[in-house]
Amino acid sequence: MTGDPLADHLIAAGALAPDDVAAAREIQRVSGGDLGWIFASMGLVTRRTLYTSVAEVFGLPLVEDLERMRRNVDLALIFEMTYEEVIAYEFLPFSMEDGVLVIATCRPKRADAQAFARDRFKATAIAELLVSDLDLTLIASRTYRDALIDDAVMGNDNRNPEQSARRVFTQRQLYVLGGIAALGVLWFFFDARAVLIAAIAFLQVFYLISIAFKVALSIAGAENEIRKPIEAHEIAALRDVDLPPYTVLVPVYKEPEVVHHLIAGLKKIDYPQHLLDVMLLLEEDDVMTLEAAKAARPPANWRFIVVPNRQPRTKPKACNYGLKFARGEYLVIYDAEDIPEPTQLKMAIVAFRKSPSNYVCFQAALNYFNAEENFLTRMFTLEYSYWFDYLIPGLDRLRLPIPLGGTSNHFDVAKLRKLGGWDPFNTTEDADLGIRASAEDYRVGFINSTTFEEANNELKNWVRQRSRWVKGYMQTFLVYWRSPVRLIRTIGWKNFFAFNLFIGGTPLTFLAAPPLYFIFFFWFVTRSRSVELLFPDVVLYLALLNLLIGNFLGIYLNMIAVYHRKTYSLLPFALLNPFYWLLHSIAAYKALWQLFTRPFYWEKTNHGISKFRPESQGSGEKVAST
Amino acid sequence: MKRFGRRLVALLLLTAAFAPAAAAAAQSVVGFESLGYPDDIASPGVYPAATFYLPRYRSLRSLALDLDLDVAPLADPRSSVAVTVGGQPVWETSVAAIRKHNHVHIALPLASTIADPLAIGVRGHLFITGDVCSDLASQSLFMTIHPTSHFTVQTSDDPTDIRSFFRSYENHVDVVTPSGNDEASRAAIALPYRVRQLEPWHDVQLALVGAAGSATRTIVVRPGSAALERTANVLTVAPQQVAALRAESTALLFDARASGVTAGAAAGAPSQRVALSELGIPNDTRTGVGDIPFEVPLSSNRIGGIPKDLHFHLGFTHTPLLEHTTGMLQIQANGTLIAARELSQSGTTEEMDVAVPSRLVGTENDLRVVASYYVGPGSCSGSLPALTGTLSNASYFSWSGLDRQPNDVSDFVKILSGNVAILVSDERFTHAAFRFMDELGRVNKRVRDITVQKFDGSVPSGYDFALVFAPPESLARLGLPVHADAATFRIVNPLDQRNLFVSTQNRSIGIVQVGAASGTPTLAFTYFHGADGLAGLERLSGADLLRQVGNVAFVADDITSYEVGPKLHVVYEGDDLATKVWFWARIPIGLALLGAIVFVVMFASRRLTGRNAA
Repeated sequence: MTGDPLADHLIAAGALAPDDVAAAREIQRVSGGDLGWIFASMGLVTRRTLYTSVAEVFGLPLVEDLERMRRNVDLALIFEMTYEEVIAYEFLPFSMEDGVLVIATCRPKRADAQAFARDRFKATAIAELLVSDLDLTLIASRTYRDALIDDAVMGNDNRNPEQSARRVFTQRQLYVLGGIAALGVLWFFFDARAVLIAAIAFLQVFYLISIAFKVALSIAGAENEIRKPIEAHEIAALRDVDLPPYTVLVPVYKEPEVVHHLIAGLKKIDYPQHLLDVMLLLEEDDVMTLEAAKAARPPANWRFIVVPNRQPRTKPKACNYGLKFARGEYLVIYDAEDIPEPTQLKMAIVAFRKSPSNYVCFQAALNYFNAEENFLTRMFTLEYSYWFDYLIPGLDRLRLPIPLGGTSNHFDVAKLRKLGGWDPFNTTEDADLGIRASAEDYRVGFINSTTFEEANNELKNWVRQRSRWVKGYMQTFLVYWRSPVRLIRTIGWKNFFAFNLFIGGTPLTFLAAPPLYFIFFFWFVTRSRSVELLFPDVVLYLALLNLLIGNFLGIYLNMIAVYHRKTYSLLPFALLNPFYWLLHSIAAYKALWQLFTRPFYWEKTNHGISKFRPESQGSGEKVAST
Repeated sequence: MKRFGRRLVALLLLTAAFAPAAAAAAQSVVGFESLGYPDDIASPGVYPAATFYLPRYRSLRSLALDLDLDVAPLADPRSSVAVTVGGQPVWETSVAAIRKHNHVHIALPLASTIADPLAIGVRGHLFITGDVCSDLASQSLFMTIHPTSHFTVQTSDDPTDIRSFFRSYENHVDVVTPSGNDEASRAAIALPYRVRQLEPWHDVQLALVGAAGSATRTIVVRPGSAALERTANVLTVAPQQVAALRAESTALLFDARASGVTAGAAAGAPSQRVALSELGIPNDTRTGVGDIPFEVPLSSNRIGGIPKDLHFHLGFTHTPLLEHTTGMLQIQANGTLIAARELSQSGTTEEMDVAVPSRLVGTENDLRVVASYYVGPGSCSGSLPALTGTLSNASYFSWSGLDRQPNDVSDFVKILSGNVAILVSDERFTHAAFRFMDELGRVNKRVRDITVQKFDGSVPSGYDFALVFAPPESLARLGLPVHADAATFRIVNPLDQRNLFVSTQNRSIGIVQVGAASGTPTLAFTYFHGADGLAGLERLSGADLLRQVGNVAFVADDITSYEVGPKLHVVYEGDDLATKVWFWARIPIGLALLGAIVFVVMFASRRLTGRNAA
């Protein structure tokens, strides 16, 4: 006998071996928590077995016919509670008779929930029906479907329409932009050359500043090489008992093939499993992935959250929806194929605890396990190595707004909710959130942990993904330029400058590159005087500086990223960056087109198409083989 | 009272009639500068000499020479300087006397010669040691005559005939044209050239003015006037009679009034030989030892083109050579030895026929005939063992033909001759054309016929050369090297793409360019970016033009020329296809762009700004 009625019952029922109980007890001793939930999270018992046993041990009726329950529930009681309260207290009011409130709960005997129920419904007594956590989530999501999805979609817009990309342009922006364009055309009509010279001069100055800014960021980011933000001993000093619940959001769409890999990957995370709240966010019409997920029989700490079908069908909408059900104190988003370094969650917790209270998020580095697959993956790896190993640390070090990466961003859930979650209308919701955090006086930090992802290895797929990102940058730029004065007052000139260079400058760079390349090659071939006319001396010297020094620095900065990761085989490919930048330009023009035609359309990136498969995680070394 | 009035009018008319004649009887000053010596005249050697020529007009009564000169400081004070008239010494003084003021005033006796022109010579006899050989070898002896020197001419009452109008020692002439009269303005353009042809011996200063000024002579071009009429020092000329003002016709105008004057018949077939005498080179006799050079310049402006198959036929006579000495005769063309022979011991007339290689022939050809005579040491005691040689002015150049297609501005000015058309588009160009013809007259007097016409965009046939003065936009049909109506242009060296000249739209400049419109060698004068550029053209001097070895000259504060064509390229801003396309397409493009902006703004306003955009 173990002394724990539930454990004894499970042993008696043959669901557990005494050794399993001992192992779970050891985990409970170290990290606390409910023993039954530890069994389920370890995968020792299924959720059904656990709840059946709990029902039997505590003498509670177990609700298994959810449809019958929904038919019999007292809707008047339901509407007395918000879905936030249902999720927070983990119960649903079922009926009320003679002052006795019957509730369906997955956490029986929870004192704060019972107190809340008595108070809210003026109940003299509480009677409990047992329902699994998953079923409770399912019932709640069906019952509060409209409110939940409304909030997921419109939450940010309702909170602050000025920070929502739901409107691509404001009328005032259109008038200003249209007026500037019309004046430009008039000027062009009377002095086309002057307009073109002015445009080229502007672009050259912009390129020069942009390059100088990147160099400055790289130098600042290189400090990270010496001064690690989070040290290993700080992670080792963390006690499991002090660890909070941690939500892991994994939005997937039609990716049944990655579920097994995802489960395996997250099992290797160095974090007590029963404290991990893993939510697989599935679209309503994605039955295929849902079935695959069920078939994989993940541990009980996994939940499948089905996001109702409603436009816009975007990842941030799914994340917002998932956020409603998050139980963790912190939250991280991973893509299905991600392989985070095992200590990443703990590292995030250390970062939160040692940082001022205004930190809302810490971004981990992203890199690729299939870097050697083809030209595209190599270039992508070079780009991300530089971005996450130098630029983002540089931004962090200079205390500038950090545009978040798509995954591996670790949030303080309470602050994230205050910020209104993600903007579902923004196709680069992560970058937008980083800027919004800055605009709301929050900070985003950087942790020196890496998540390995699958680099896009197909050109069309790459263009789709990149066009979505660039479109999101355009949306974000337009959003925060609705009230530039206010933005400057909030974040200051330095951050405003960085915002424009990063968020506005990225699409501009890509859009401007092809015409400038064309002009250069046209002149190179024809030596046309009409080209020379567009480059008065000062502009010519500036253009030459950018052409020679700027391109060199662009390539060189990519090269130094190779040294950080010791992926020397990628070194020669840095020289091919100009071609890679042209691909960005193709994506940028597609993004510009879609900004007007399909502003909220989410260009889905296909995952799991790499021939490479990760063998291990978190080594920081090459983790792939063919 | 009525009678008194008539007497007063008669008195006034009489006074008016005789006053100019009285003024003409005054003295005139003919400066050396006016005679064509703007710089110091330096003459080296023991016998330095210089000769000046003055025409001997009927009105000449007395002549005086004011000489500003320096003599070599090493020259012995007992050395002397003499002045000759017609080769006869008329005055002499010691160097010591000259050094007191470096200025002498000499009244020249006119009776000593009857020659016309008067040849007034200044000759020195300088020495240092008395040993002529030694003094000669020292090369320290020279005499310098400064251009401030001048002749003072006393004239009697000027004759009033037309012929003597152009036989004056006064060198200021005003040309007056009625304002706004195109015909008169055009006719006046040829006048300065004609006057310079008629008075070649001095530098006549001509000014084109609207009303008579302070000049002692005035030519009024007046449409509807009598053909030619002289009143005191005013010559009134009908426009159509300007062409008749040539030496062969004016020499016969002994009256104060003439009409229906025609120019002489056109010259016959052009000659293919020219003697040195025809080039103004006299028999030149020199004595000395060492290299004794005789300069024989042949400029294309004297023969009307660049000669083909040029030959030089030399006649050179020399004294016998002393025993045991040798002498040599060399002929050099533009610094290159082309022929040489030994002088005969007995002394004789050496005749040589030398072909000048075509590669050495240009517009300016400097032939040097050098008689070299060297004596051994000790041969100088007692007397000067010198060689005396005479280059005969019967020596001549001959050629098989003339290349009359000028390659550059300088060539054009030198070659210009024969029948010339001056085409002027409008009155704005009158002063520039007048000034050019004035300056041309200084350096080239070979133009026979001048026809001034209004420019209609093309060069008429039948002329040997054409001068065009027109705005840039009307020169398109002339095929000139530079299209001055372009927005801007550059002269580029195609070898290294270096810009040699870049026009800007901020500054007007004058442009002179050589072309061949309809096969006629043409010199076009225009401006770039505004007629203010004509100011530069009006300041051009003949010397400026002769320095321009390019076919396009740009004139602003300074003048620079370039060889545009095979060597250098002209590149226009507006010459590329894109610019041309833009020029006609900018309206539809501008409208299309504006339309696109309106469409996008309206589309975005309706679809992308509403709260229901999702």
